[in-house]
Amino acid sequence: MDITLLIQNGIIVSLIGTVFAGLIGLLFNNATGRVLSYSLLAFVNAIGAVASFLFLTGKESVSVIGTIPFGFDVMFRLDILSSIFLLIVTTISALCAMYAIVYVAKYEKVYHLPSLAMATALFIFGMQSVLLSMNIAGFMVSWEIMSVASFFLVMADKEKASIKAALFYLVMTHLGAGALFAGFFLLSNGKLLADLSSLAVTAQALPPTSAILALLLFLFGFGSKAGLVPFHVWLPEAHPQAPSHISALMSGVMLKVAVYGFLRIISAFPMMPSWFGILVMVLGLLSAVFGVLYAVIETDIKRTLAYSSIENIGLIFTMIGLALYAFNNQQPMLGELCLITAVFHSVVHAVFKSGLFLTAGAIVSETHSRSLEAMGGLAKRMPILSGSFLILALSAAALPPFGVFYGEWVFLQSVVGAFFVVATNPVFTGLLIAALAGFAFVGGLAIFAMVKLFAIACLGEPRTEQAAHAKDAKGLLLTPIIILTGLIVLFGAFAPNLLSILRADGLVETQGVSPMILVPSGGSVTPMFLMGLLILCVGLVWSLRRLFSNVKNERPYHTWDCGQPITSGMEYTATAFSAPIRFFFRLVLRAKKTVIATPLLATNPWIAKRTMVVETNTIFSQYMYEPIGKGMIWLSEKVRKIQNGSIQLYLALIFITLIVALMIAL
Amino acid sequence: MTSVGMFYPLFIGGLLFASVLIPMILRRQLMVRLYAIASLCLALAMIVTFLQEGVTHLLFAIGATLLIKVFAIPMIMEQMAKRVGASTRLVSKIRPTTTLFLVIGVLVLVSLNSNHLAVFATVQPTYVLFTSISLVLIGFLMMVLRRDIYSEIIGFLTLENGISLFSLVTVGSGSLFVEGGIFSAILVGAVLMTLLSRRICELYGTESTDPLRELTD
Amino acid sequence: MQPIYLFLALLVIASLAYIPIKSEQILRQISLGGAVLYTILAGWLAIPALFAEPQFYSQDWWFLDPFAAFFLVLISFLFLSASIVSYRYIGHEMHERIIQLKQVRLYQLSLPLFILSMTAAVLTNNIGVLWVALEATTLTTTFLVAFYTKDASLEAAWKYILICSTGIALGLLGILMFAFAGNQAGGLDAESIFNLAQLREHATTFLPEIVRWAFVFIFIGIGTKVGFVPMHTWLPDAHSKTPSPISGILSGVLLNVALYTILRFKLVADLSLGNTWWTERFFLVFGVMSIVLPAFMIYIQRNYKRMLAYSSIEHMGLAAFAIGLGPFGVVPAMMHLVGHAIGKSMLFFGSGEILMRYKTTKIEQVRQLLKTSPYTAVLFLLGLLGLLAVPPSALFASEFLMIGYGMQSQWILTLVVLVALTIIFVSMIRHTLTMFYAHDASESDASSHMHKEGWTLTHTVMAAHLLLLVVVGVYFLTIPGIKFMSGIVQSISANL
Repeated sequence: MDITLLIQNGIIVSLIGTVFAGLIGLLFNNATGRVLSYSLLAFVNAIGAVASFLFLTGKESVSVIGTIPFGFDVMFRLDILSSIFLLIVTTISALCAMYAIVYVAKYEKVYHLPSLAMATALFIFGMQSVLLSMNIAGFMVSWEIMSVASFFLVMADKEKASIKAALFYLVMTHLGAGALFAGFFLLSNGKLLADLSSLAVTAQALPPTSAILALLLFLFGFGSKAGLVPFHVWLPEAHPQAPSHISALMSGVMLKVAVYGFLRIISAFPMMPSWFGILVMVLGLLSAVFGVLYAVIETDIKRTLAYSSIENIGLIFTMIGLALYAFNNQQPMLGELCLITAVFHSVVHAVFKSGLFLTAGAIVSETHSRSLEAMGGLAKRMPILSGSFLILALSAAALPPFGVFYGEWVFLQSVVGAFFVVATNPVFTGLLIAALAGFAFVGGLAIFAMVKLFAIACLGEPRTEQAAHAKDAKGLLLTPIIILTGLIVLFGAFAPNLLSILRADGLVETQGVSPMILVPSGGSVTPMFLMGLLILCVGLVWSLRRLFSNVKNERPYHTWDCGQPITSGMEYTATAFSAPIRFFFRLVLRAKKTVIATPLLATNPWIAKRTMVVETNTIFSQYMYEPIGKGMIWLSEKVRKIQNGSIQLYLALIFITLIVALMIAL
Repeated sequence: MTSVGMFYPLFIGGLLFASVLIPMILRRQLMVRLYAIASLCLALAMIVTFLQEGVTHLLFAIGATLLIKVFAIPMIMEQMAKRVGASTRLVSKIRPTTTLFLVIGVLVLVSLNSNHLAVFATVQPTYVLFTSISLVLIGFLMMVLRRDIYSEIIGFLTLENGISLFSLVTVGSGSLFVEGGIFSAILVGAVLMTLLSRRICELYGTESTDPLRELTD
Repeated sequence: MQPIYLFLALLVIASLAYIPIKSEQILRQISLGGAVLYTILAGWLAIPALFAEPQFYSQDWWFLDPFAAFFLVLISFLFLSASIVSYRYIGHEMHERIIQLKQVRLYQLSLPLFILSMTAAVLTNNIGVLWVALEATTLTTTFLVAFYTKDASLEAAWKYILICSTGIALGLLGILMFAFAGNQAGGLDAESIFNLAQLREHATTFLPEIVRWAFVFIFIGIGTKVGFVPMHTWLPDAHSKTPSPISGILSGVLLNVALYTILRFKLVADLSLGNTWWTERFFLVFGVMSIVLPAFMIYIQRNYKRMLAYSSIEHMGLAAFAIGLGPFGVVPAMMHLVGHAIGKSMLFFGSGEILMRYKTTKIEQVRQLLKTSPYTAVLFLLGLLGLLAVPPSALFASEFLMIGYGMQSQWILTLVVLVALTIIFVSMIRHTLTMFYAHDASESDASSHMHKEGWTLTHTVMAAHLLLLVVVGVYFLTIPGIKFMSGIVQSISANL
């Protein structure tokens, strides 16, 4: 059968099937209905994933999926950029839907399952249509559907904290959508139903101030949805409160949709001012640094992951920013490489972050608490899950032989390589040094954060009863996690193939210049070789040990404890583990530590009960958001004075308005 | 008919004088009667115009003014007020003398801006236009400066007087139907306001607007 | 089919309120039947006119062009919905002995008279009659505002009648000035200076200075009735104290009719001044003010009916803002009026249901709404989302067009409007969610004694409104939809 037709039908099935699955979940409020709904969701999204993969590896560069003659021709179109991200969306959605079949059943009492299913389906549908729409109206309608559906998903468990987080998210997403509207209309110069690909043409006719305003609006709009500092404050509040498979979708996929939007819009600005690239890069570096710092000091497993998402988005935007700057300063090769690694990082981040969130969901469903301080010893009790957790955490820390490492490796190689080319340009050199230093810093701290995450959760003794009785995740809860882990390992082994797929024609507007040889494929060692080597070494050590040491005479013995029984109270807590970082960066983090000592004996004040509370309030929420909130309330109180109940004041207002209008208008 | 025409400035002046006095009077009965007198002057002025120019439409307006504004409304207001036992003493936010100064200030302001208002000059003498605008402003002033509900009704009615004088100046009058509609609207409006004020008095026990400040925010 | 039949029908229905039957149920059925009759007659009259070319009746008093027909359709639709909801609402209140038979009679008398005055305002060609009709809308609804003999209602009614009558009196001044302009220009005789069609014909001969004075008075005076800031102060009180079906009509249609009046005069002013930007400045300034102030008031609002009233002010501000953007702006403004009429009335009907169960309009005291009244809660939330311009509602279509149009000419103001809209969006959702759930365990016990509600007539009406909102919203984003709306506003476009 014709490949094109296959692809088109696959995408259509994916779109319609998603909505249909949601309807089934909404209407049939029983276990069968739920299983059917989520299975259908997984199935159609898998079809969509296959279709986008076929497209990506095929020969075409653009494929029109369909046109709904809505008077303004809602057109769904697939091109290289959108197909990459569509692949991410559909794959992760399929896996999360699979996960949800078992997961939501555990929380039957907490969530209202029919509306949860419908909202999930609408959320996925919204994300798919954002990627597929090709004109402003379709884009914005899908964006709104995505945002409102995710709002309802965040507050799904109806806790006070969730509702608060959801409302904060709603403010940011609505402001962002408004900025996007404004930016699109500025760019299209009033043509309301303009096609996205024609924006590049109209953008050239814009006066420079309008163009700059539009750029800034888009940066705010897409940046706030992606979690770019300083618009990120909603993210660590909202992502943890959602159900875990939704957190996976939001962190893994929705943030990438925002990245997609940003990438698409910058392709409409062929000539953009250099300082914009610097701005994006600076914001990206700030996000990466802040994200990783807060990831290190957080004690809530899902908040740590949320901050880690901010960090990764920061890395992606740093790469994009450098690419923009490079394009504007006669370094197209560097620019193209940076863009490719940015997209690569998006793909792998989607995979490992969703895997981590799904794992966290499985863990939390057993330990009934999100705090790391309540976990521990899970490696013995949930071995398979902990194994995947380990691999995913290591890949999150960008360690070889997993995929993430190679993306950053290529990026850093290009930066170092470009260093020699632009040695004479001080600004450029400075940027390159900043990027290099930033990545190194972030990479180091990321290892710290991931070690903390894995070690405190899985190693040692369980710190609470629930953790002690945790049972391993099984079946459909475990399968998606295993699949994602496998994908990360595969990406590690086949990184060069993935990179070359991504640089398929049409991803970036090259001027016909062929990029530098991508090192992993042309270098002396391939990733596959490295991975093989690693496995070989591990296998060698293991077999040598079995051969030469006296395994029969080994017996397991508990850790030497100096006669004092080891309890979980003696272990590192997450707070303790991150204390050095908290101390070192105290100026930035401004953690407040309160120690309250209550003496227990009147005679000896040193025997006391001590309570320690560590509060961290991010500087952004302290110095940016809280003043705005307080300002709003202050302003509202002032405005409220107009309506003070006195009819004389009301009449006087009319009178004064009349006089003023007469004076001004006549 | 020039002899009749001599009375015209007298009536307009009387209208203005009565309306200027109204904001200063703090007794309800006197205030309502002053309003009746003002309306009477208005009606008389209209009669003079009719006699001078012979516009038959005015007849209806004259009759309606006399009937409604001079007799019906003041009577209804007084009856309601007596029935509910409202106190005859009214309260104002500022003293009568200050009110007088304010009113005179308003009159001065209007006269200073008369060049702006020159657009509306017609065959009628300028002092008529001046009076009508002043009446509107005085009505507003009453509604804003007084603290009881009856004064507010009278203020509104003074405003309406100013508007009918304005219509006399500029347009003459419209068709019967329209005039009838306008007058009945004024009548029904005043009646409804009076009914409401009775209910307010019954409920709150006072005719002051101070308790009417609960709906805020 | 002449307009006179409509008026007669309404007068008959109104008079039937005082027939000596003791059963209030029969009274309610009569009024419901009357509403159906009126809707049929109005539809018969208006729907053909919607699609026709602008034409006038041969009589001087009434005319029906597509613009007027459009408003007539809105009036009759809302009258029908509100009557159906009133049937249940008044029945419930009688049953609970909150009101007595004589109040029911008052209600059945005032409502048809109110609709009569609005119909007259929309159909008339004579600006004097227009004024009388507007004043009549205030007078007939005063005792609906004072319906419940509570002190707060009386206070609201007092402020309503005084402020609105003052505003409309200023409007009368404006109307007289327009007539005077016609007089001075010389082309019109004493009879026809009050004739709107004639005024339009001869507008270009009017003196611009007089027309400017006149428009200011009309705008400020009748703008009081529309609820522009800062003349809006009566609106939150009045719209929150009336019975909910009436609030729905007041918010949904009365504000629109007042705006209709201003637009009729805007055309005359534009023709006379020779440009549209002088009048559009007013709409822009007052429109933006009317969007920004309610944002702050809704943020700290504690009463859900007042919240809905402030939202009405904001939507009128949005319509004015759209009109102020330019000649094409009237199209999204009219779309917005339709969407607002359908959405806001639906929300007010829902708030009536909440009031019936919880007996309070304070947000703080309504808890666990989702558990005790799931149908009301879900319909209310969906309607709120529609009102807040989530696609595919009609308000999304109108705001989409508005913002697109606005970014071209007034981008600073458009950005301010977008921020204000966000504040209102979040505040209204926050207040609604506060009512949906309990804050802590003690509150969840308090409402546990309330039994779950069943599906009522009001829910049917609300669901029908929701469906209509979506259908109209989708229609407005199609080319035929936009063409249809452009055709309707042709009779008030100056085409300069």
